Amino acid sequence: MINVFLRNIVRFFFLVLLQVLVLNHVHLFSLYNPFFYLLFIVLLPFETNKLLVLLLGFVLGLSIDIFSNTLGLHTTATVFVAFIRPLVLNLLAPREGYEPGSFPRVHYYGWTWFLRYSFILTLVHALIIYMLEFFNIQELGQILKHSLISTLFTTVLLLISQFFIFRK
Amino acid sequence: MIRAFLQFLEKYQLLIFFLILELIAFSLFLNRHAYQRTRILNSSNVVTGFVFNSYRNITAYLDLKSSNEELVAENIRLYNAHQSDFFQFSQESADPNRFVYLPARVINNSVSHSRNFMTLNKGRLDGVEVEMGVVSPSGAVGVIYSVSDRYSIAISLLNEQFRLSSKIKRNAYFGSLHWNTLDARYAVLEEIPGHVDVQANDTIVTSGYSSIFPEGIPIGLIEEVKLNPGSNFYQLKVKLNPDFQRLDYVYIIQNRDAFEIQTLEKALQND
Repeated sequence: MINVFLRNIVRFFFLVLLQVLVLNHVHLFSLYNPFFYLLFIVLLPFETNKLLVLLLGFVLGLSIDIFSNTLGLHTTATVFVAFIRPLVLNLLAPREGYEPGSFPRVHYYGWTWFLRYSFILTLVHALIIYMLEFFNIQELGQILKHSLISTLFTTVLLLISQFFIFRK
Repeated sequence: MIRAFLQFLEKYQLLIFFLILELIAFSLFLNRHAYQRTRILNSSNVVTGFVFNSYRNITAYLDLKSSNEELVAENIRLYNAHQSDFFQFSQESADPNRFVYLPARVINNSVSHSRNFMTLNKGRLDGVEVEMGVVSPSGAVGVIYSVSDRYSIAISLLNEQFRLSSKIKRNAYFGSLHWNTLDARYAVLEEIPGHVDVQANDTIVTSGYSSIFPEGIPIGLIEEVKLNPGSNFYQLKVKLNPDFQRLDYVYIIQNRDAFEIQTLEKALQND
């Protein structure tokens, strides 16, 4: 239990630093940023208290915002993702439910499940980011285009990340 | 009554907590302009400044080659300009030493938002103040926006709220440069009247009409000439000179006469 707790804290700091130091400067076609830090929310254990997930989403988004000078932008999007995560998990639950002691990872539920799960969360997150970024409904086409490309980018990174988690 | 209310709270606690957090986040977003100036919530605070600076020190050697090339190119340009420009300069009435250059390094920078900022490793203790210009070896890149003791934040030219008074070098017609493209390579020059002779590849430089930048700092080249439909003004697409994704060494420009000029202009506005 303490092990899980500690692992998540380390993961939090690692992902924030990775995002603000490296990934914020990686641009696909010099325009689209990956939001890989979402991996933290994605990997939280199934039974994490929902209120705690919200709070963690808030702290995570705010940390990214303070480092990137985008106050409120990532916070709004990440809190929303934290809120819908239980709903998405319910939607994608296998018939017999999630096994106790398992984690939301490829290792337990397979590639298709993980792809759907992370794609939905990433897409919702990117849509909110770019809606706020453009803040103009007339730019709907641009918003959708940016969101989709950024989502694909992030999802690919999330899938790749699954190769680097060796622990069961 | 109170019990019913408590039951209501318990039943909907998740939704209520979500709405509260979202409300805080969104009001931070709407008021980010005001909050970011407070320094605690931006990338020049002690923690974030330290993180960026340490990382910059570790990775600095990776950029050495391109940084050196850029600095060498700038040296050559200054070297060539020395004879012709310097003498003309000193004959003008304005003091040639009016502008003081302070070297700094970009320790954090963004290009993919609609409002981009960059963090510099010089602060108030080094003499940096709000409203000073920031130029890279290849051109103007921003203006200081917020200062802490050892770090400062500049509003990037790649920020929809930023306007830069600039002119066409060849014929000295001036207009206002602004960025709304979400593309780090291009900006738009407006307010140049349609009768002016403008051609692609004309050089755009700072006008010197603001007290922030000296005259003639390169900005970019005109890439596309278009008349704004419905008005008799050009909408000129400008290819920016500096590579904003790779900013490293920059100069912060202090105008010794800035206070005097601003006081004078303020008096005019008050009349």
